[in-house]
Formats: sequence, structure tokens, C-alpha cells
Amino acid sequence: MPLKINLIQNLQAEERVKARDPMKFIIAGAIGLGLLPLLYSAFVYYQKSESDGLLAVQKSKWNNIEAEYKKRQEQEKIQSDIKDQASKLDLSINSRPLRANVLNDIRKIIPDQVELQRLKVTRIDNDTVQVSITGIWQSDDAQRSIGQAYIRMKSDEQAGSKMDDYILVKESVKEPVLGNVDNPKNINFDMSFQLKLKNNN
Amino acid sequence: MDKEQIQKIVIAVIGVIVAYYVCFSMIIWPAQMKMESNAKAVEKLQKEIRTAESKINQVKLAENEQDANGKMVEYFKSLMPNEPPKTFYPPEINKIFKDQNVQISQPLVSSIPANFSDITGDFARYGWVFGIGEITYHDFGRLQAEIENKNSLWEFAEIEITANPTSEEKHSVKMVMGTLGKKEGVQ
Repeated sequence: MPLKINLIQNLQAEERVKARDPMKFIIAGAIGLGLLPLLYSAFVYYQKSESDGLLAVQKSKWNNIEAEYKKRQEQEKIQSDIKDQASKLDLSINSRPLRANVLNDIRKIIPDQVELQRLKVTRIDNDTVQVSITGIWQSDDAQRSIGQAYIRMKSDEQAGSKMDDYILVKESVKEPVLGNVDNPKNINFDMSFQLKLKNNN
Repeated sequence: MDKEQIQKIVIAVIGVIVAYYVCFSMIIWPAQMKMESNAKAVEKLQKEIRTAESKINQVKLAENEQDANGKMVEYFKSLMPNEPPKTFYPPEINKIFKDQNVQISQPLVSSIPANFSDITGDFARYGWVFGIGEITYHDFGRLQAEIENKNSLWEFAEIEITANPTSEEKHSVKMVMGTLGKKEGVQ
């Protein structure tokens, strides 16, 4: 048997072969790959904890103001009811379209030739009244004069009348309804129009 | 590669797959879903908190207005009678006109349009119809102004002036008056 003088060398060669064993790399790689999701899981778990914390803070903040919010909601309802009552009362008390001065203003737009038989003024809105008159027009050509007076009122309706506190409501002046026209100097008629308070005061 | 090595590789691959499956299905995906629901819940809560804070401030700021409105309503309430309108107003209307030296017919309950009678849940306007036998156009205007100025809760709803066959200057007047009061049961 020859002398074995390179025993260590052989052992080293075997070790080198073992060291280059691909199985080692595969196992190490597998462990590395297996660790990656674990690390990512830890990261995600950390983020989730932060998210839970933020939610808990917001919940606590909400719990702190929820009771006051509910109380204020009730108070707001009360405020709204009182405001509604106050404003409606105020409107009811201060919106008076049928004031004493309506009679004064009506006097200004009724021509002198008219002998009034009946004057009716009705409140129809917060700032508007309906005026109905029944009269006798006394002049030489009463029938045409009534027509001309109607045209003048229609014109005033567009341009704004000369009254102090009221204006004629547009499209409210109705064509006069004539009564007995046998006597051309003395004709009964009915007429109606609406007056609105200027500036609603 | 021998059989043992192949077995090891297969086991390693299976191990990796199992590790991924376990991590994703039991930790990562549930955590991500929880984070998503947390984010939505936080957003909703923040919105509610902002709304609540804004409402609280708004209501606090309106407290002065609430006081003023409350005082105003109480003041008008104090001017309204506690008696039933039917027993209170007719004598009161008679008295007011008598104070002005004007004789009127007995005030009777009159229906008035809903937009004039309904004020709010607690208040209503009651209508009264009555007449004056003889009064001049100008005197009536003055009387109307006088009554309106002295009685803030009274308002003329309708006036009908008709010619009087016995007098050219003095006319007959029929009127509907609205008086503002508490609804039944309101104190």
C-alpha cells in the first residue's frame, strides 16, 4: 500500500465539495424567503396598531362631545321653534296692509266725478289689499269717461301711481263692469284693483 | 441530485408556500382589511366630529338671539288674554270703540282666511265682524288709526263702507277685525 501523505488535502477537498453543496443554498434561500412575509407581517401589524390607536382617539373624542352635541341639537330645535314663533308674530303684528292711510290713498285715485256707493277693502296678503268699488259716474259722456279712467289706472299700474303709501299691483286693475247705461250722464259701475304697501312698511 | 436532495427541495418549497399562506391569510390580509375599515371609520368619525363641533358653536352663538326671541314671544304672550276669545274680545272691542265715542253693533265671530288666521302652533288670529251705523270717511280713518296704534295685536282685515240713504257725509261701515291671541290650551 502506498503511503498516504495528502490525507489533510483530501479532507479539505471533501470539505470544499460539501461547502459548495447546492442543498445548503436552497435551504438557506428557503429560510430567507420564509422570513420575508414574517417581516412584512410585522410591519403590517405595526401599521394596524397605529390605525387602531387613531380610531380609538377619534372614538374617545366623539364620546366626549356626543352628549353635548345631542344637547345642542335639542337646543337648536328649541331655538328654531322660538325663532319661527317670533318671526311669525313679528310679521303678523307689523304687516298691516289695511291701515288707515289706505283710505287716504284710495281717495286720491277715485276721480271727482265718481259718487261712491260702496267701497270694500280686504286684506289679501301681508302687504296687499283688494279694493272693490261701486259708484255712479256723473259727467256728460260718463260711459267713455269710465273707460278713460280705466286706461289711466292701467297706465298708473305700469308707471307707478301717485299714492303716498301704496302702489297699484300690476295686472290687478279689472275692467269696469257697467250697470244701467240708459242715462249717458249717470252710469253705475263696479271696479276692482289691488294695492300693495310701498317697501312693506 | 439524489432522491434525498429532491425531497429536501420539495419540503423547502412547501415550507415557503405554507409560510406565505399563513402570513398572508392570517396576518397581512386581515390586518389590511381592518386598516381599511379603520380608515373609513376614522373618516366618518372625523366628519361627525367636525359637524358636531360646528353645530355646537353655531347653537352657542345663537343663544343671544334665542334669548331675545324668547323675550319677544313672552312679551306678546303677556299682552294676550287668558280667557277664551269668545268671552274676552266682544266686550273688549265694544269698550275700545266706546272710548272713541263710537257705537258699534255686537261683534260676532267671523271666519277669516287661513293665511291670515294661522300664525304659529301656539297663536292664531280670531275674526270679529261688526258695524258702525253712521260715521264720516275721515272720522273713520282717524278712528282706525287710533285703534291700530293702541292695540298692537288688533288688525283690520276688511272694511266695507256703503252710502247712507239718510246722510251724504255719514256712511255705514261694516268691518272685520282680526285679533291675535293664544290658541286654546296655550298658557
